[in-house]
Amino acid sequence: MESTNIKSVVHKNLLRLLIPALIVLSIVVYYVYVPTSHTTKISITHALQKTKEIDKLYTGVYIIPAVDKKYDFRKRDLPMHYLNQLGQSLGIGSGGNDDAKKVVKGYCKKRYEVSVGYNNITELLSNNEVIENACQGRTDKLPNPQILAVNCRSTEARGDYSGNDRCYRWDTDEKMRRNLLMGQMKHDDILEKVNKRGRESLKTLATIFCE
Amino acid sequence: MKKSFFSFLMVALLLAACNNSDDLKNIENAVRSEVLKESTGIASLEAIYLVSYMHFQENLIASDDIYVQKDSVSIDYGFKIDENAIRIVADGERKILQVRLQKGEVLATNRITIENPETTHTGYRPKDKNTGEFVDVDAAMNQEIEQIKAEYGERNLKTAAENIKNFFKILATKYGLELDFQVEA
Repeated sequence: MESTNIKSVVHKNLLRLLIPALIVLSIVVYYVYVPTSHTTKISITHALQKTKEIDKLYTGVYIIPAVDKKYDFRKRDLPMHYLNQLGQSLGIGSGGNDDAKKVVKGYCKKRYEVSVGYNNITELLSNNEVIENACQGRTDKLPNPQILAVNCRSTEARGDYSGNDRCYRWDTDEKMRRNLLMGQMKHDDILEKVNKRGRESLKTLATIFCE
Repeated sequence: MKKSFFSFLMVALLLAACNNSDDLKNIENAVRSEVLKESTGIASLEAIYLVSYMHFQENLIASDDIYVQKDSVSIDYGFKIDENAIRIVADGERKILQVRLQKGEVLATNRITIENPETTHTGYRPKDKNTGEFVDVDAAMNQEIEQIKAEYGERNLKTAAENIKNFFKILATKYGLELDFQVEA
């Protein structure tokens, strides 16, 4: 009878100790093995593998009218110009160049829609140098965006302008068209703005991978 | 014994729930701070419209008149983002980055004259062929800008939405989350 009582007391005391011990152990196990917010740090490669469907990043859309102007003499200046040429051929008079008197006589205007951005963004974001420059805030060291697509939206020609002129060749010669658009953007002082904006957008995506 | 075991379970579950909720809150704060520091960048798509006003007047005796002027309008399309637009929610084991954006809009417009008018005759002002009145070149250019904005606005907003979706897609992957992205129609 006495031994049964002793056993029961020991058993009760053991249980009292065991339950808090189990609780403490569970908490320890939970914090050690159950993933916490530290699992949010994953490698860049892993992140990029899952984002492969992102191919293009469009950073800007630009509507650019390309205008080709044709210059010639005004009607009132033509007689003087012909006289000048005649004098030059006869060796009479100064025979100077009167091209400065030419004015715009005709034009052709095309409206292009130019989409600018990065073609293979996944590849760019896998480049350590790109990530490093972005994370260090060296936006100027990032690659400039490229022309991704060009569409001609309208064409208008007026005055002394013929179908053999440059404007019509822009449609068929892709290299000429790209050079024209780059030149036009440069001329209108927007090329630097376009590049800067592109690099900033790339930086925004790249900085996601900063440590 | 039963009572003690039940208490133990309750405490363990409570701790797990608290920790999980803390975890979500931590990720939510991290994502929000990453987005809000860059909100002006990826949230928008830049569009520059170069517009030109060109006028041609044929003359019988005098030389024809031509008038050419070019302007540039830069427009930022994008989405205003505040922290309430971004939430991290749990669905069983899955953690979801929930992004709810309001309809995109024009965030900024800037118009500048990039070229003074080029004319055949100095001081020439174009006249409307039907009314004979002088043309308000500024108003005519504004009209063209509005036409272009109407023509390209929706499409540019779609591209801006695609850009910001990609941004959140990468961000969600970085934090091991699924993305639930919606833009108000």
